[in-house]
Amino acid sequence: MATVNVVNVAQRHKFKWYEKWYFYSVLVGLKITLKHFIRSAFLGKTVTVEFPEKKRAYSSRFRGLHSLKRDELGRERCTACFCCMWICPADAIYIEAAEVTPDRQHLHPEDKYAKTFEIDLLRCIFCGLCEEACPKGAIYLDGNAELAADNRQDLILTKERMTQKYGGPIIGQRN
Amino acid sequence: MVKIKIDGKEYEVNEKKNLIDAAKDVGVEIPYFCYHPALSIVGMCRMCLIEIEGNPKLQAACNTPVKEGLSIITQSARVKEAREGTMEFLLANHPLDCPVCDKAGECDLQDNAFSSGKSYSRFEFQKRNIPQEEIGDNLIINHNRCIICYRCVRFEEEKVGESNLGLFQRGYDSIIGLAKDKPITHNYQGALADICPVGALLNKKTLFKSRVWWYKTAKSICHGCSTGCNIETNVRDNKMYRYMVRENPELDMYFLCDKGRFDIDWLNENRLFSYHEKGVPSESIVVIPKILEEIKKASKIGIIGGAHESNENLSQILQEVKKWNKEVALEVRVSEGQYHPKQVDFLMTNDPHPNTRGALDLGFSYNGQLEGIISEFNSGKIDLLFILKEEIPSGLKGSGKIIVLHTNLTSSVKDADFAVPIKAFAEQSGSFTNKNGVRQYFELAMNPILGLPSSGEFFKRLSLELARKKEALVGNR
Repeated sequence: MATVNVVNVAQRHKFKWYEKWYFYSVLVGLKITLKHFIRSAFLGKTVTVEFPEKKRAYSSRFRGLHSLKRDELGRERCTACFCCMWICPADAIYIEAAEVTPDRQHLHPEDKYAKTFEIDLLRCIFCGLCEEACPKGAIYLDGNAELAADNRQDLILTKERMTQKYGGPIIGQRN
Repeated sequence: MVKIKIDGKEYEVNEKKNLIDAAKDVGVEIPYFCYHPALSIVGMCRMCLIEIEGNPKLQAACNTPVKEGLSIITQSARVKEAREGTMEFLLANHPLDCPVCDKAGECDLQDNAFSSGKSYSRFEFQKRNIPQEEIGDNLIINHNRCIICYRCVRFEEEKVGESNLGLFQRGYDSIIGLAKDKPITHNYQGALADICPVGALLNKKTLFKSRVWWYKTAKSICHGCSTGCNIETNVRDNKMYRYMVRENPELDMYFLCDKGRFDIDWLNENRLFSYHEKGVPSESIVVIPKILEEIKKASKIGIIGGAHESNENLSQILQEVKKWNKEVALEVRVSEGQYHPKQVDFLMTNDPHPNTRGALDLGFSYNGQLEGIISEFNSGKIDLLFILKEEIPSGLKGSGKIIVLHTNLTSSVKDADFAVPIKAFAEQSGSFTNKNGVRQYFELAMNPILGLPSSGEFFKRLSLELARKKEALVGNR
């Protein structure tokens, strides 16, 4: 049976006589180098960014460091429903829930709150399932990407470190 | 058995059962809130509305007697509309706080809203908001979530025999509240929270500890007393979180008392995982040869306790002890309740051991009873005493050795000459025989730590080591 639609990819390119000349290929390469040299050195069209001093804006869909949101009244949105802890595929989230006492009722919309909320950044894979699972819009991965630390304790994100200081509508909300 | 017609199909059902249960037996689900098989029927929730042929109005299924020739329709458009309407009324004031509510996941309202409710709400007004109250030493009530099904009031009146709760006011203002000045203190606050079809009644002891869908369940038997209520164990991360009722209509088991339900901390905390010698942690290869020496020297061996062990363990202990060719005195009864069992309330007995009856049936009873064993030990007749998960009885003064087999690090472990860690009942499968002589089986619920023996396995190891010929030690052990 005859084969249909077969292209012989093993067929080699046939060089012209000038292509076989060594200096032609070298000049072609040097032309590209020269083009980029002139563009960046004289026309100011650099492609790269000098990273630590200059930073590029993140895409709105970028998933970085976690933050816990507050609502318009400045109360914590998180009600410790454990949905993020449940869905987390890397098992990075640890929550301990507690009952809201009258002295901290102004901080919470419901009668349950997260006493401890820890994210182990060494485990987190930044998949964003926690913000998808959250029924209250409390957790978003809208921080930056620079997470380096020189000890393990700094890589455990506590509630104090990731809760927003002021409340308001969520700006980085995703569709 | 009578023949009834459900949705045009003919079924044969038990006429002694309620129509909801009878329909469930043949595979037709009728949604309900207020109906409970062990309580009286009030027909308050109107969720189980069905069409009865020859009857112009919809009727509550829970209040319809099952009789020959009855023909009901559970799936028509009219029934569906009525159920949607009922759900809409119930949800009008029910807060949407499922993320916060501990009942979420096992909530009848969630299930029925999903199966027969509408997916949207037409209620545009401010929802009723009444603050949460503490109505018992282990019970809180959230009035916003309450759907006035009257189950809690009926349960207290009909089963517990104490009327602390009542339904006050009428219509929109109906509210379940305390009828007395004092908070509830009886033994069935866990059962009240359990029969509540929504999250209105909750126990403080389990509040916000975990979510329902995390639990791994296993069929088990309550360890709290000799009644042997059927339970489902809820385990998460190899820790016991709670017991739930496993309904057993044949034995009329629908409830659990607080004593059994909340007595679970001993499974998680303060566990004994190492062999002890004179109250100091040791190793099995040090302790077991010493125990073997004692067994060889002993003229008469006493075994006290065992009512916490399964029938399988007990029969293995009997079998192994027989191989030792020693005189053995076995006694399971160490507390007053085991000699004279009586009911404390409608479920609980005064015997806090799950398997006294099973042990007695296997022959764990001594002519001299516990007193006889103690006096024989003091006079030196018994010179080796095994104690199976019990406190060391007071009045032991003899020079014989005491070996305690225990699951927890108690004072008896500290006082004994040797202590042996054993598996708890949740870490093995087996059976308990309850006070009525019914043998009930339980499954493995938690994974034991590696190498932990059950009491039967420990005795088997002892007899294997006793039978083993002495070998020269070569190299490492």
